[in-house]
Amino acid sequence: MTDGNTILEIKNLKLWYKVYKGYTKVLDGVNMSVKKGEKVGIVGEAGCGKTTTVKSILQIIPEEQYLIPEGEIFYKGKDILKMSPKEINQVRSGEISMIYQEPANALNPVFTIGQQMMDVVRYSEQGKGKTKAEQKEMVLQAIRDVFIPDPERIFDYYPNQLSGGMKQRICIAMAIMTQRDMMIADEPGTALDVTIQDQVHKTLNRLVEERNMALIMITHSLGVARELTDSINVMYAGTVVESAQTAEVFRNTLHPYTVGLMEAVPRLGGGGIQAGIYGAIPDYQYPPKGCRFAPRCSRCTKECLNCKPELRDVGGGHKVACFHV
Amino acid sequence: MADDIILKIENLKQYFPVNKKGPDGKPLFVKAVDDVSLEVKRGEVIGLVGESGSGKSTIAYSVIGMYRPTSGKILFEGQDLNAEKKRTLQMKKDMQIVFQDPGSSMNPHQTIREILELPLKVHKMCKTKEEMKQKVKELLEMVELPENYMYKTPGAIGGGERQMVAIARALACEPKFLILDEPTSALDVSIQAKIINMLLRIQKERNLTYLFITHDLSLMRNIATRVAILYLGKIDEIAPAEEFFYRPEHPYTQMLISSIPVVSEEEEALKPSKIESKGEIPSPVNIPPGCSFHLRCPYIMDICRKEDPIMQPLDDHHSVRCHLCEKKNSNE
Repeated sequence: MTDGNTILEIKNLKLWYKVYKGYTKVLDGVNMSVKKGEKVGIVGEAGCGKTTTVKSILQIIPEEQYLIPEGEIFYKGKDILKMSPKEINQVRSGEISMIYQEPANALNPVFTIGQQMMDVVRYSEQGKGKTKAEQKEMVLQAIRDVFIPDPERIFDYYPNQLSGGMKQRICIAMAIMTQRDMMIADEPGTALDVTIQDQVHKTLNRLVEERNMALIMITHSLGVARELTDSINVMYAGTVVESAQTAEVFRNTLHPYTVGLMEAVPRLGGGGIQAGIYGAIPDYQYPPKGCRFAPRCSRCTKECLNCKPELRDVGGGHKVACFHV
Repeated sequence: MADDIILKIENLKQYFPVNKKGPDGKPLFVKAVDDVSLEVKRGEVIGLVGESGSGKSTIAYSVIGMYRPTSGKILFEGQDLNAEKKRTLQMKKDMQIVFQDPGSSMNPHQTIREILELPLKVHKMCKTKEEMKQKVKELLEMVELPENYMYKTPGAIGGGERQMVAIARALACEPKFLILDEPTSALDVSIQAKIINMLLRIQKERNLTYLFITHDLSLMRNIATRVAILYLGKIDEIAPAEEFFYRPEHPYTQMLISSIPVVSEEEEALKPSKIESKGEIPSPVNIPPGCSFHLRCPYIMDICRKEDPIMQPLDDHHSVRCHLCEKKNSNE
């Protein structure tokens, strides 16, 4: 599968968090790939391992908290999990950037926006060897790029002087300021109002396309995924259950979980809301033996309870992890 | 028809002082709710929609009695709720509220049984202990939770289940009117669907009236009979839910609807395509002069900067507060 076009490939990634008694087996074989310049969505409910997956790409979970029993993450052909700390820092500072869900927590409250953004430039490839004035110009240009008026003034502001939407734009500015090949956006609009969310998403989309970056977009909203991504990976309880081109997911929804999720979305056209999905996500410390969705699935059979379905191609690059499809 | 109206809000104003003085030395206020009038009919689900800071929760808290209004009247079944210093027990019994975050609105040290028994005790609904226990069982059954949940604490159950307990608690004293302050915005869509369907079933069974607060317009479309859009403490547009989506009149409403991310082509067609969202909601301390929306409005005219528009009825059910619609009306 690995060709020159694939920038990131996650193969059978498992990740366990250490807890008081044993481990919570959060990720259970995640398979995913991202092509150059592709916008990939990860969709799923709270607690299904979306954020854990992307955090493991950047290796930003504290080391003593987790264990990866098996799996590989190839970034440009190299396994991130086998990299030395120096190489990983190289990836973080020059290759992949990330935007977090809560812009308020992502910015340091005791430094000005300018100070924080200058740091990014100073430690990047592009900023090295430049004068202070040139570095500042890079920062101002980045602030302009995200449609914030009067960047000179914003440069000296502290984060608490900005609104939530502005803060998130600053986070996006920081992420696009230096040339990167990939961006990870962890629910960038969730904490914002719907009109502001729309603006932030549009800005993000435009900048990513202009710079031909690959984007991994985490969201719990199918609507957001539909508007912003080229392909979608639906996650449930630490596994990818359905993966296909965005249009295909909406036209031909196959996995029972995706179907349930799709039905539960309230529609603009009215007509009431479907029943939703019964139950809750499993206890990760003692996960179900077979398919992790089986306890909530209406089509569950004996096979589902005993064996874990593999993610398999059902035609045209549409992959589903279910025995009944 | 007059006795059909269960709740009437007349020119409600709710100002909060801030610790700052304006340029002229006068103390400043946050005008959280500024001259809102609203009528709620018995048996309807009325939706309040708006961005954060638009004053939707403040209206709910004023109605339930957590704040005393700066000015204006709130009439419940024709009775002025704030006529006396304290509301009577009967007034409190008739009106209940469900909060947004079920985790922080319940005592973590109490069991579900204790939580559900409290309103029964306060309103003296049950005579004996057996009756009380039976009633708690019935309440749990109503919200589709198993009986043994009685002995659990809020921390031991999931977020969705906790919200169901909160709903059961609000319904324990058999109110006529229920305020739902974003009951599902902290939950996943699959759980949201379940809770919404349950709420609608209970509403039909008991002929309740809901004041439903949310920022999610597509959810509103599916549950509300009438929708009111709030912006900076004022109602901009009020209309039946259906009409709202095929004939949004106020530019802000159009902006809101066009911002919703949707999941199908049919819905895409429903969105107004001409308008694009821009700008942010200004601080409620310095509300711009004239129409409060003029800074973000794409159709801004000279009059918008100077005069605040007044609410104009378009027809019997649909009212808009915008100079643009006034113009349309006078042209016709």
